[in-house]
Amino acid sequence: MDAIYEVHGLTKRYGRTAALNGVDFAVTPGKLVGLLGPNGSGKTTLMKISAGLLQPTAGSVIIDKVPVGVFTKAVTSYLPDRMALPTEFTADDAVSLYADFFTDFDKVKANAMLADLHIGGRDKIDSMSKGTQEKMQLCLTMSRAARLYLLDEPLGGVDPAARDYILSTIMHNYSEDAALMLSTHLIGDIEKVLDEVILLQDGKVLRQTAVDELREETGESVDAYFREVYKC
Amino acid sequence: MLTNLLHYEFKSTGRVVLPIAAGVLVLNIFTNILSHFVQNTSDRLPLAGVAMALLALASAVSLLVVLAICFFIEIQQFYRLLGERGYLMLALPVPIWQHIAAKVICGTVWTLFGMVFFTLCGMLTTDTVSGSGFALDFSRVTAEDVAIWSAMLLIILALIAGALLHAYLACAFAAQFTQQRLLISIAAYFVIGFIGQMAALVTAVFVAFRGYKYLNNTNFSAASFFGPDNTLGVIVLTLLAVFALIAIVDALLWALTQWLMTKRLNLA
Repeated sequence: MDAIYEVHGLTKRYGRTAALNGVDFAVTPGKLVGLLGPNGSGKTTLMKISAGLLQPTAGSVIIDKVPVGVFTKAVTSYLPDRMALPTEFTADDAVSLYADFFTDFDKVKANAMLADLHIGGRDKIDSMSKGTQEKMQLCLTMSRAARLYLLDEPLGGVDPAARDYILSTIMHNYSEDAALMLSTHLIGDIEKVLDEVILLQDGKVLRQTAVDELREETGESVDAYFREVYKC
Repeated sequence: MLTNLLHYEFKSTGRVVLPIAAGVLVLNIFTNILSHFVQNTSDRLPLAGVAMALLALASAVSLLVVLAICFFIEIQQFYRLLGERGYLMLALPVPIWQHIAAKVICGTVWTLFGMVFFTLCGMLTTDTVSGSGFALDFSRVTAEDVAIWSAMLLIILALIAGALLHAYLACAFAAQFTQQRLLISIAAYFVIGFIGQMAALVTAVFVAFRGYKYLNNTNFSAASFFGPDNTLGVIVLTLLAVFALIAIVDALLWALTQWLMTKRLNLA
């Protein structure tokens, strides 16, 4: 099967520091991939370049056979690691914004998900709690029928109950012919749902493997393997 | 997509500008009404005169505040676009030029709104608003006036857009750095301004010295271009030449901003 997401020799330097140093990998449709690595390993930089928010120093990212640009933004649903919705907007405004710009956005699905969270259309985003804002942003991201989902730390900074909600939202809303890549440190929570993992270290791909293969080979969970590999 | 961007840009900024403008309008109307009652009462109520003067001062300052907000709000929006807000807006399937266009159009419209609002409120406060006066003034407007004022309006629009693009370029330059972006934006604004002034000075000196011998023998009188009675043509043509010059500078600022945002985008 052709890859939906390809990264070739990707390098990003900030002055003398290399955040990414010749990253290469490919992801095929239908896969739920965990991008794992310690702080500073380049996960967020990789996500930002793939979402078209950062220019690489060298190398390329190909999504759906096209280099990152306006087209790839139309087929990629990106969840940043921070709150990016305009806080002066109401929930309805945010839904309309997604509906106006993304042709693959399902407004009915988004409204149903927001109703589940007890978010009213006229609720202002800045009056919501941080956790609710993050969940709302996730709902909007997952309400798209995108070809590729890039979720940067979707489980970061939320309580265990919210993590369960986020995981179930991700699992129930991404289409089978799409690929989904999420970065996280909380491997124990997501291990059971992942098909593949990409391990990053010092801006390089340490390993890309299927989760089942890794478990068979090492005889331990991905979480345990992660702790062993990245032991300080 | 540009229409959609403009829709959200006006929605986002209108929520800030319009309530403030409405409050200032109410303050100015209140000041105007109150001033009619307080007039000629300085003998009986000396403190009322002082209070009235302070209120008039507050009204004038509030008008300046509205004008400043109308200009700076889009600069703030652009600065935020290259920060946290960019994580959503720059991930939209929209070319960078449309983001810049939306900010320039919205900023120009708000600044123009601020100028009109300032003028009308100022006239209201100083009691120079008169329906019959306006009607009389408009009845005297000729086709020549319309031509000249249209050219002047174009120049004003280009100047406002240029001022905004100057600030946007400073923000886009500062966005190349990971820290102290606000400080770098302000410093870059003044440096770009200085470079622009120096470039204009050098160009003017170059043209004066190199072009003098050619231009010296050329007849630039109105009659040589349009015949003896066509001074209007000269005025309009001069204004359009000024507009073209400003538009070239605007285009240069736009191109540099777009290059930085396309080739060197680096969200914090």
